[in-house]
Amino acid sequence: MDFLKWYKNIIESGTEEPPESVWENIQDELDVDLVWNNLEPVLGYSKRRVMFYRLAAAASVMILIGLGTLFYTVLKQDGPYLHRAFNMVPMDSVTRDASNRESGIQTALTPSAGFPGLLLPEDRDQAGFPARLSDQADVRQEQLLIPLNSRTYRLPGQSGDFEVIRDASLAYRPERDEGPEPGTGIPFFAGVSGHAANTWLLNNKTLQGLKRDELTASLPSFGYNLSIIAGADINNKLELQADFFIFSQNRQNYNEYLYGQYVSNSLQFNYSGISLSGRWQFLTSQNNGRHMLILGAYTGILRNAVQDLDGTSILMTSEYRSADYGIISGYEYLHPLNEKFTLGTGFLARYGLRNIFSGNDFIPHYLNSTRNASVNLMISVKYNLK
Amino acid sequence: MDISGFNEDIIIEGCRKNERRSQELLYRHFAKKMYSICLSYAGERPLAQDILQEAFIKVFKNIGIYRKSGSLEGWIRKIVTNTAIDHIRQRRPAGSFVDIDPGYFQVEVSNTVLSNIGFSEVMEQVNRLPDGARMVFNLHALEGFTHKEIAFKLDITEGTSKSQFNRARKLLLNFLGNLNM
Repeated sequence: MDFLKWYKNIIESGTEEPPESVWENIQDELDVDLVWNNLEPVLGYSKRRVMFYRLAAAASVMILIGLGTLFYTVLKQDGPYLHRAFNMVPMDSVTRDASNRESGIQTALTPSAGFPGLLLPEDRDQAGFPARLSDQADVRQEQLLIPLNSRTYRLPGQSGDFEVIRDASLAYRPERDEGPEPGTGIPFFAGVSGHAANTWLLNNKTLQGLKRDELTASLPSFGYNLSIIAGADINNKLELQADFFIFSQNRQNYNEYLYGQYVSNSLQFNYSGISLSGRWQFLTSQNNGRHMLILGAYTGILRNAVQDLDGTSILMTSEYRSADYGIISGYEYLHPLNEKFTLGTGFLARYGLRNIFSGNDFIPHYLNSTRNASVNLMISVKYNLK
Repeated sequence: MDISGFNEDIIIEGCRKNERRSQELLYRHFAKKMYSICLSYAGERPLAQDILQEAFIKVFKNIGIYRKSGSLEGWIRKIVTNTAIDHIRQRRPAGSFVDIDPGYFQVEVSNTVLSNIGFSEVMEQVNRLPDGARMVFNLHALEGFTHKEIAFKLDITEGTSKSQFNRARKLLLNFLGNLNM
């Protein structure tokens, strides 16, 4: 018998079974790989999403601050912003300047009948100012704006359509409701606001609890907010408002199957914070009520987090981040009660951009991403300071 | 687990989808044979189990690239062998080859003697061979590698491979012959 063949045959027909622990170890290794393969794209996506939310929040805040600064700066100066932005001359300033330079003779232009919006640069004086005044008191401002750098167009027979008037008081005056008068400053307001909020803790547990076939049930939860508000009318369309939240609650209630029985489990987060929002008036009602769209951002400091597990309260503050931030949007109807007081009602959606779970000994923060969210019914009373 | 209905194509497809049942079926089907090979290379059970475990993890992770140009068993065996080589090379101490030519030993063993020797007895005797010599012997006897291929795999000269194979063969025959004395 060939020894090598014999040897090969006896090895390949081996009868010894490997111990079961080998297969168990193989399974463990494969499980680790499987979990990592599943987690890796999620973690990568989460990182990208977090970065996107942070950038979006930062951009929102920057835009709000920028817009606020821009409008504030413009309104502090005499004359509307648009005149400078588009290199145009408002008629009232024209007449003032012209009168100063021409010994009290005030001039302005009126559009021709055929071309009500058109003024011709050739009709300016040597310094580039209009040479004649209109006798139409109801001329709109936008019709009287003259582009200084526009091309020259002279229409045959049109020059005779302009008339000289001597009364500067008949020239355009800004309407009172188009923003604060030059030099009068910005109307400020202050007040209080209360919210009744339907709050949600957005995480896997809550979302799973909304499914019928899960043992854990996520229940509707309600919290309450109280804030001091302060703001300013940037113009007749736009307000900036800051809410200083004395308290702001976020809650989430569950019914859970723990230790062989159903128990109630409630998480409550108590914040103090501030929100900054821009409020744009998109509609007015006949009774001077104003319909406002709200967009802004908020940030809050966690004062405490408490878990109530079937009647037993546990302080959970250490497992959650000390600060939260997010975006807000909503609608508010402002009804003037009298000259000084305004009543506001509306709703607000708040969405947290930050994972508020900071992790514990068993679960790292990224495996239990948790965000605050709420839909708030709000009521406010504002006092107009100016 | 019942592996009597083993269908290679279905099992491979299941393994590619990371189905645990298919992976277990594949493992159960080849575990005994591959464990014997691991034992022959490792010479001791704990190391053989480590090699077997690592080899099957490689199999499951790489089954996606397995092409059916050759047999599945051959592909798995190649992975097992390479894993064994890696393990032995990592732990090979100095003097892992047979230094003394055992030419004076009695190397003739009758067929009758061999037919009475079982797997576990062979393993015991194989375990007595130095790691390097055992590796060369197995690569030539079990896998059919030429001495040139063995020299390349183990980073030794072809002459060393030849001499180690001959010495290992003589030693093993001597060990086995002494079993019935």
